Amino acid sequence: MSGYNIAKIKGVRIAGLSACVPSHVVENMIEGSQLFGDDIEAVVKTTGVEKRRTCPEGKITSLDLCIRAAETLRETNHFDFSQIGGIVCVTQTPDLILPNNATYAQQLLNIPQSTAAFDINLACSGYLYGLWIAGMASLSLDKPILLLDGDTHSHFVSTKDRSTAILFGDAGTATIIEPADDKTGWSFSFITDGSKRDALMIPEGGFRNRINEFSSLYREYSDGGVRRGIDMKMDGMGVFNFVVRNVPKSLEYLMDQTQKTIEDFDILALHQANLFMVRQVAKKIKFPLEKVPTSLQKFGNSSSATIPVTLASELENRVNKEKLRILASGFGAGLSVASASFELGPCVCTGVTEYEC
Amino acid sequence: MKDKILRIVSEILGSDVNENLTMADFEKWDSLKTLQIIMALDEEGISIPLEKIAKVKSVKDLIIFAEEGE
Repeated sequence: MSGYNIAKIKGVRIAGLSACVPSHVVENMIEGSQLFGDDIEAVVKTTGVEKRRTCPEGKITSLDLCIRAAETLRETNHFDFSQIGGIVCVTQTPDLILPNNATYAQQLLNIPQSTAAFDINLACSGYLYGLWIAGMASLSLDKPILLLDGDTHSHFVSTKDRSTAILFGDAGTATIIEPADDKTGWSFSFITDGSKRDALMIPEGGFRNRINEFSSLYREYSDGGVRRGIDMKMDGMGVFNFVVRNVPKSLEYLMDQTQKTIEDFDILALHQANLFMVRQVAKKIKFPLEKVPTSLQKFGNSSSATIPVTLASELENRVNKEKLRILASGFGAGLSVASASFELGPCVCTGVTEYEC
Repeated sequence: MKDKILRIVSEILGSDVNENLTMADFEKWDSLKTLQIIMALDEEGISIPLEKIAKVKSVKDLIIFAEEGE
C-alpha cells in the first residue's frame, strides 16, 4: 500500500475534553415533515439524525459554544489557563472574517498575551488536523495548547434543500493537549482532492464571489434544491462516493503503517456525516459496530466538531477512568480526509454541556 | 433475489416498478431514495458493494450489483 503520507507525534497527551451544544432541540420528524412529507420517517432512518441542536443566528456563535466548553474544563480546577502556550481554533463559522476566533478567545478566557493563537479553516476533517497541529505546537512550546473546535453550519443551510435541510446541528468543543511522557505516539494520514471542491461548498460570500444583491434570494437549482447563494450546496452522492473510495483505504493504510490491526483499537470514531455512511465505512474495514459510537441521532452533523462531541458524549465515563485506543477519521469539504490513531484517557472529560438559548 | 429487489424498490418508491425503470424515468427517485433502497436491501440480506452505490442509476443496476455482492 502506498501513496499517502504518515505524520507522527510522540510526547503529548490529551489532558481534557469538553463539548457544548445549544439547548434548543430541533425534532426532525416535525421540522422536516413539510419538506419531505410522508418520506420524513424514512429519511430520518437513513440519515440517523432524529434531533439536532441549533442556536439563533447572529446571537450565539461557534466561538460562544467553544468558550463555554473551555470554561467548563477550567471549572474542574484541573487546569491552569495561565500556563497555556497556544490557542488553535478550528472553524468555518468564525465570529468575523477578520480578525480570527483564536485571538478573541485569548481575551475571553484571560489567557496570557504571550500565547500563540490562530484559526484553521477546515470542515469535517478539521478536528484531527487540529490535534496534529496542536500536538506539534505543544511539543514546540513545551506548554499546553487549547484546541477549540466548533461550527454552526445550521446557519447556512436552506430549509428548502433536501440534500442538507435536516442534517446539520451546532456545537463547540475544547480539548487540552499537553506535553507528556508518551511512548505510543499519535499517527495521522491525510487525503486532499481539490478537484472535487464543488461537491460541498458555499458559492457566495467569499472573495471569489462576493455577496451581491441576489445572494439572499432563494433560487431553484438544477439539482432540485432551493437555496440562497450564501447557503451550502452539497452533492450528497458525490461526497458519498469520495468517502467510500478513500476513508476505508486511509484507515487501512494508517493501520498498516503503524503495524496495527482492528484488534488494537477500542473505538472507531468517525465524522458523523450520516448513519448510513458511518456504518458503511465501519463495515468496509470490518470494525465491530458496537465499538463505533454515534451521536448524530441526538446532535446532528456539527461538521468539524462531530468527533470530539461524540467522544465527549458517548465515552465520558470511560475516558475519565481508562485509556482508550482510538482510530478516527474525519471527511468532508475540500474534499478532505484526515485519519488518526491516538490514545485518549484517563483524562478530564466533562461530557456535553448545554448553552441556554 | 430479483423479485425481492423489485418488491423493495416498489415499496420505497411507492409505485410498482419493473427492472427497466431508471432514476431518470422517476422524478421522486433521488439519491436519498437510493440510500433508502440500499439500506432496506441490506436489512433483507442483499448487499450492494460499497463502491457501486454511487453508480446505481436503475433497477437493473441494483440487480447486477447485488449479484456482484453475493
